[in-house]
Amino acid sequence: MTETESSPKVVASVDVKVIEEVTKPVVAEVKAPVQEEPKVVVPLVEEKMPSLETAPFDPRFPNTNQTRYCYSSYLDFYRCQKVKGESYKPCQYFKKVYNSVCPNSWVEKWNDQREDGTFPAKI
Amino acid sequence: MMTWKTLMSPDSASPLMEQLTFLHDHALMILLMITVLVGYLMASLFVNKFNYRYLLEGQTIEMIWTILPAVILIFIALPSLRLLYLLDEVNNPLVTVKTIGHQWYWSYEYTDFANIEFDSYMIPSNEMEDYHFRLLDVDNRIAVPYNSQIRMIVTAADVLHSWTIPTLGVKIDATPGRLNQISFLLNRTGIFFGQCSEICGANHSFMPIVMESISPECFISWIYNMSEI
Repeated sequence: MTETESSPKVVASVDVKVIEEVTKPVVAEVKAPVQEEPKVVVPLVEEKMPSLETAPFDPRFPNTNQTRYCYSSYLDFYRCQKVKGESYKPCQYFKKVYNSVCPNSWVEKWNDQREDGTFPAKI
Repeated sequence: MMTWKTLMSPDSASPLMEQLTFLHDHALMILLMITVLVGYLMASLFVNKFNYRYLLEGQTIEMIWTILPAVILIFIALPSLRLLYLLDEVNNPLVTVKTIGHQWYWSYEYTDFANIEFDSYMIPSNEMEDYHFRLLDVDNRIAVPYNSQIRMIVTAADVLHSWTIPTLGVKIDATPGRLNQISFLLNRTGIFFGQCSEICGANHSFMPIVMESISPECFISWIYNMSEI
């Protein structure tokens, strides 16, 4: 009776020890490569690329359809430039947004239309 | 990715897809229990000897089998509504990727930092290597950093297409003249496949989507390499 009662307890403690032993080396192995990676890549990052940033969420356009966000940003940039002048830095926010959100073909088409004088909206 | 063996949802790569899978499994379990109950009742009708000529009413049981389905429906509706609102949550994306559907390929643009544009054609079966998946692999994959919110803006250049990746729970129509936005987050690294989901002509089945999820450092190196090309 005592033998059968004690054997499950012995098995349980053995299992726990086995699990601890198995997980410890795995954790140690995972830590090592993570420490190595940044040393290789950081010089590239610092020299070349800016931080990852994109057009923020605009509560005026909360839904799926973002066509107006693209078009409004494009109009706002050129209107801002016309009113404030080309060297006014805060206008660049609109340029950043429309570059992020509008397809390049749309931007090129609108640029051509503006140069031809056929752009449909008033700037 | 979907194979011929995929009967239920594919393994998810995004927390929202995980929640969709859980809701599906929860609702399906309730449906299975109802089906088994009804099947058992109908089968037992064939073999029982119950007979009562003067049956007129049974108010208690009528109450039970009216209230109980309402309770079951509440159990299905509450998680469903929770997920419905969760899918519409506002979030601030880290990267914006634009995709334009053409006949019959996708083109991708990354214009947040450098002006990167490329086309993504399916690898034809006669040019396939041993390691390629037939009708699913492409020449240029979209790379995306994991654990970061990605905003995808989808449109089309000619006819309707639809951009989808089942493991992310994402499917959005590509409509000419309209920009559709969808936002997702990848939980893990890997390569995820999808196929065009709106009939768009002869090669509608042959314009797949392949997304590669990589670490943010690798993503920055990838952007740097692509902008030099």
